[in-house]
Amino acid sequence: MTTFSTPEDIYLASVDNLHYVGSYVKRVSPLFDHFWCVIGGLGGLNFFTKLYASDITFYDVNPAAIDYAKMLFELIKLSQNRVEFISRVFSRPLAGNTDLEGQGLFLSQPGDFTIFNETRNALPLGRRSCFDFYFSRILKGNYTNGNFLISKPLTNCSIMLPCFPVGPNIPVFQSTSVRVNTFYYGKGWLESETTFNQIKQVLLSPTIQFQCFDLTNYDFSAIFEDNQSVLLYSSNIDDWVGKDAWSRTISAWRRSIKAHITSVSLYHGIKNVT
Amino acid sequence: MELRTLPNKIYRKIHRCFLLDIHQEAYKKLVEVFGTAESFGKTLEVSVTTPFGFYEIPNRDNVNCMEFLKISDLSVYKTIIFHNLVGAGLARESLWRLIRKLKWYTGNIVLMEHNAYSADWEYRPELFLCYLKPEELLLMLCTTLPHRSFRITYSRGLRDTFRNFFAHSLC
Repeated sequence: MTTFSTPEDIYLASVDNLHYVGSYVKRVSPLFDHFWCVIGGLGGLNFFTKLYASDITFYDVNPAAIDYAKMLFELIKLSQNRVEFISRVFSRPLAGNTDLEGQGLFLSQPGDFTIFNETRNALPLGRRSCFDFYFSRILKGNYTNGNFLISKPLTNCSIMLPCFPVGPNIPVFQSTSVRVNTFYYGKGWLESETTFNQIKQVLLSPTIQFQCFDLTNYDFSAIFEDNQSVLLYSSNIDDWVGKDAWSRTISAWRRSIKAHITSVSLYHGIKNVT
Repeated sequence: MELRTLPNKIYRKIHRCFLLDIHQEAYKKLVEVFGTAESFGKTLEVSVTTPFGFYEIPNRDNVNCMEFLKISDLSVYKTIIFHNLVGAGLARESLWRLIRKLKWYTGNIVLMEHNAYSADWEYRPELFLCYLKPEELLLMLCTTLPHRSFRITYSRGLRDTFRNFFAHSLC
């Protein structure tokens, strides 16, 4: 079982089913004082296509996920558009209108060291080792039998795909070699240049913070101000920790927090907690 | 609760009682691609086992992969359909071999396969690796038959609208 504590345990891209995330993004109120977004596979970025929050905190239980998110955000900021972003992630040149049916051609290209090095050199010094650790696996990845297999697979990622259809769950079965991560290129926050630029603008904001903690054992009471409106996105943590632990967490928040918390999780959906 | 989150057992029952016949759905899509059922003309349908496939097509011969490789003149057929070959267990290398035989064929070509992305096999991870993905088949086709252009059409399944896909190039 994943402990989510080592650099090998992170997700390189989303495993959140965009069908559900997209429906939550549509239904949730667009204005909050503070948005707490789990890093995970960065499915929470989809909220920024609609949401405005004065303060934003990205959190994760795994410190390596925080390093990865900081590096990936730098990559988003330095990319002129979403095509350039995906090209940099995969170290392969992407044709502008690639979709699910065209990604085979893109992924079957050999990794391009020039793109890799150019991207690496454009990153701040402190982010380069993280970039090397993860993206050299993608650079050396190969397209075999319709799957882009990264070299040295991670606990939660053995196959990376830019595109994935919206609807089915993304297959991540840790006991097998089927551990897919995707950017849902062409959908969600990578649907268009407009959505990509929206995300970029959000990430350029100085109010973004990063915190490392376990959501189910974290005391929010000292952090949230009374009557503050908070959106808390927790991806599939509710399913991962189990029904009882999740209920206990929600109850603890109800008892101790006076802010208005709206919780969004993949299995319990949108809940007004306090 | 959404319909697609129901357990497989209940899903199959609902499917059998009310919803749809997957074979008929696939056939309907195929007819849509061709316009009318008459447009198929004399058809050769290749499957892993015989008899199998779209029995509804009026003027149809059904052969297995080995028999297909032995056919010397494909030009007598207006349409050739590969019916779910990898999905039925054929190795990808063998599919390459079959596709290469179509190099000089000028009629309609249709390749139908189970779509690895479909939620219909969501609980069987090995199928994600076994079945073809649309982009994989398109890559195979564009490298083997670069002079033909192929389009993809999907037909629905139990849980989504893309259980099967057709790569087709009509002349």
